[in-house]
Amino acid sequence: MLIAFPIRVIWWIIIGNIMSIADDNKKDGGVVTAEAANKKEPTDLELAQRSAKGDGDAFEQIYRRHFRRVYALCMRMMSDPVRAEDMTQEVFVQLFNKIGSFRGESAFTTWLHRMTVNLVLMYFRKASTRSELLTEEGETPIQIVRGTENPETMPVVDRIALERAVQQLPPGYRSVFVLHDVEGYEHDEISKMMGISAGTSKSQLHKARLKLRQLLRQQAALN
Amino acid sequence: MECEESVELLSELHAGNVEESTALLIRRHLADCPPCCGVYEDLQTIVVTATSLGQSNDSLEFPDEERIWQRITVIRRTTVH
Repeated sequence: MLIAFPIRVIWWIIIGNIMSIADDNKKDGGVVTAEAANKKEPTDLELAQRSAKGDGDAFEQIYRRHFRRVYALCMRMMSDPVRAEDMTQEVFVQLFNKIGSFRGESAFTTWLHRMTVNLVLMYFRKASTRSELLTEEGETPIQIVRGTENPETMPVVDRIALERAVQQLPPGYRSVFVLHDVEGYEHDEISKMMGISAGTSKSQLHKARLKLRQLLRQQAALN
Repeated sequence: MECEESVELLSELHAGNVEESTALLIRRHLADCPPCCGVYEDLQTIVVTATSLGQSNDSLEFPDEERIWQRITVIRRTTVH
């Protein structure tokens, strides 16, 4: 059902396929030969089926194809390169163990994406941060004081500055922000994944955005 | 509408989730209140930039793909045997 997939996840799938094709062309020096044109890149489903039968090369292809996306999601949710690296490893180990259960009912990227999110959230729960994830008022709301805000001083939000600011968010805020604003999940999906109400998800998202604004302004003041 | 109430509703306004009458009140407040208007513009910028993060990972630094693959390979072998 198309509506079940966030738009940006669908975009993720499309770009993934385009990048795979682009990589193939690069290997041929940018020239699409007749042989290359006739050579069909195996789909994720085909690779998953081969992996499930013990084909190590197929599993490695899956890893190479999806490593960056899995790491990026882990890094944005965990904001720690070492933990994100360990979690990426854990995702692919879990994937190796469970790949036989992928039946192609959804896109492989969506399935892997959801598996990654679930493992990161499970990590947070095990790390005893569940109370933070569930707390509606995770942070003191940012108060706007008349006369102290000047729209002209708001820094230009570039992607690197935002990445840096996201890493400074409390885990609960960060998870909701990354899942909603970066990955494109809806609040009802986030509420199911995180075990919170949709209202809490909305509230935490809003507070996360306000906190990010504050962090970006602080970053800009230091520069 | 006061600043605090207005700011609380800005994400919902952005998502189009507030009733038209409330949206009108917020917009009137924003028109009269440059600080709140600034907050709204900044939140919109953050959302747009966040969306672009989801579309490209160029702003991230990646660890050594090969090193992680070797670690996974060792664990896989251990699991299989």
